[in-house]
Amino acid sequence: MTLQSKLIFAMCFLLPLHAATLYAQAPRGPAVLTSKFWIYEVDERQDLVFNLPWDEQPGDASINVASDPRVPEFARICLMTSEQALRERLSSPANAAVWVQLGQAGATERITIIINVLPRQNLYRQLARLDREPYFWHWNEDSRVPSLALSNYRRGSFVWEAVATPETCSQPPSQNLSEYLNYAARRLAIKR
Amino acid sequence: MKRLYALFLLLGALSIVACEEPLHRSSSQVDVTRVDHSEVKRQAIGNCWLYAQATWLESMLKHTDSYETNVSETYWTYWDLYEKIMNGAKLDDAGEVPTGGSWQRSTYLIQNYGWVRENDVQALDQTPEKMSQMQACAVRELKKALAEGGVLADSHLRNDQLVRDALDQAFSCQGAYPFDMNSIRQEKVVTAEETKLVDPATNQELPLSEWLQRWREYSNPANGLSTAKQGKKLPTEVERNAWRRLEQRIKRALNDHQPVVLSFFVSFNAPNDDGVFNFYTLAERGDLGRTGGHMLVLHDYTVRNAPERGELGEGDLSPEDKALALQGDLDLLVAKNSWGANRWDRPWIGNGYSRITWDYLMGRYYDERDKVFRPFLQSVVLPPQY
Repeated sequence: MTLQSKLIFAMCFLLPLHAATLYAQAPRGPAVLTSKFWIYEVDERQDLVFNLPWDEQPGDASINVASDPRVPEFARICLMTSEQALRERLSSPANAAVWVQLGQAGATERITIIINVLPRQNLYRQLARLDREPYFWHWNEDSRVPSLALSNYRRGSFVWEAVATPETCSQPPSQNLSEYLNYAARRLAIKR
Repeated sequence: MKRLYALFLLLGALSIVACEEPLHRSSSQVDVTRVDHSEVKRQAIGNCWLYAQATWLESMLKHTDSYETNVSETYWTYWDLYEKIMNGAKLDDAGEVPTGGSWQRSTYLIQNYGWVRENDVQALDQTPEKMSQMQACAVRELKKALAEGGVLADSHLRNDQLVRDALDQAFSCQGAYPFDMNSIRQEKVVTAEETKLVDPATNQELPLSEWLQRWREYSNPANGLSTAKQGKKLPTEVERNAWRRLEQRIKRALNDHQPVVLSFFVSFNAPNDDGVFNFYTLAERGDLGRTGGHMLVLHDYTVRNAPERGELGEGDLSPEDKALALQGDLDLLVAKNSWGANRWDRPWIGNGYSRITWDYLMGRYYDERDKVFRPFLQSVVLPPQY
């Protein structure tokens, strides 16, 4: 594998009804969840090897198979943990209200769970330097650099980004979801 | 001279502006009642930074003597180009004459060359609807002179007389305009030392040279923070506090009618139909579109969530409302621009005053060339004590 190579194990699915129907409040529909595993490797210099989808040299191993054997078990467990964490935080009365408000303003109902998979915990700081630490954000489209300025909440997907290592499964900071949803709601409310 | 030039190139790195002109269109009306400003002008070349400097000086002069003065950008443009060419400037990568600059560079030009009135350089050349034909022609002529085979092409052969002759030819548009820089310098120049200006807040009177040293340019608050790769994220608490402090300084200065100068990165996909630069419109359009640096001078602002008032709009408010405005959230800044006014081809420019949301200025854009995120706001020039 070269420095420019990339492996994305994508596991795209609609959650079963009990999980996908995060909110029943009309007129907002349920959040539609999709998940991806971004699996990092290390080279001989112990640097992380991974090309992000918007990098100039795209990878060639984007696999949309949920049960791909290259996804380690700890990452699959982390996905379940992440779904649970997302569900709990999105279900709080305050966040649920903003989610409905966003729906009324036409925001996307899609949420992508990205699990950044590291082979060792001591690579976490390298990952953070790539701006890949746990965070809730919005992604206009896969092929372009994520940008708050250009986020169009009617398009694309919100993203719940977590980090899995054999020892840990890290979720976005506690206030991140509500702060981001409130920011998106403000942006959509002020139609300039 | 070369050493001096290198110095302000270094200083100018804080905010070097290669000014842009607009493309989109729609309509706009903004009340004009706060910081004292002179008539809107329309830049012909990439020297918005000189228009901003002139706007600042005109505002200070208007506060000092109540008269409207038309300070000449053409005069400074001449000496800016003279120094650049004497120091080896070539056509830039796009094959254009390098007309960009910064607040530091324009203050240097004033300190060394003083200022003159525009009608001492050219008669009735500029109006809000009409750009300076003299500057436009000068740059066209200099482009020929600097191009291969031109009289200024070989930087080793340049000397004072050769460069001055070429500039005189260019600014006279090959004789189409009467132009005599020697007599302008001998008879018309007002020096920075002899120009007395009164501070809008304190009424303290000092020479222009002194005010230029006291007004200071501040880079954006995110400059020292590690946000270069974090374009997807909301500002951190530390960053929000830093922006909040800058917001307070700008609001307090504007409350006191100080002509605060702003440099920012323009995306021409950001203005809406009313000419307001904002993220909503930018995101709807999906990309940055045409971009570039720009400098202008603030005039007013609006806030949301002001205690007891909610929104506070444009116009000179009572001292009580100004105090409440300091506690509200800055919504947008109103600035005197140099893109003309009442233009049939760009109606969204309206009366020449642009509005920019604070959200837009705090945001970050992705610099494709350097592969980093940068804040849209580049710098602010503030008076002392703010």
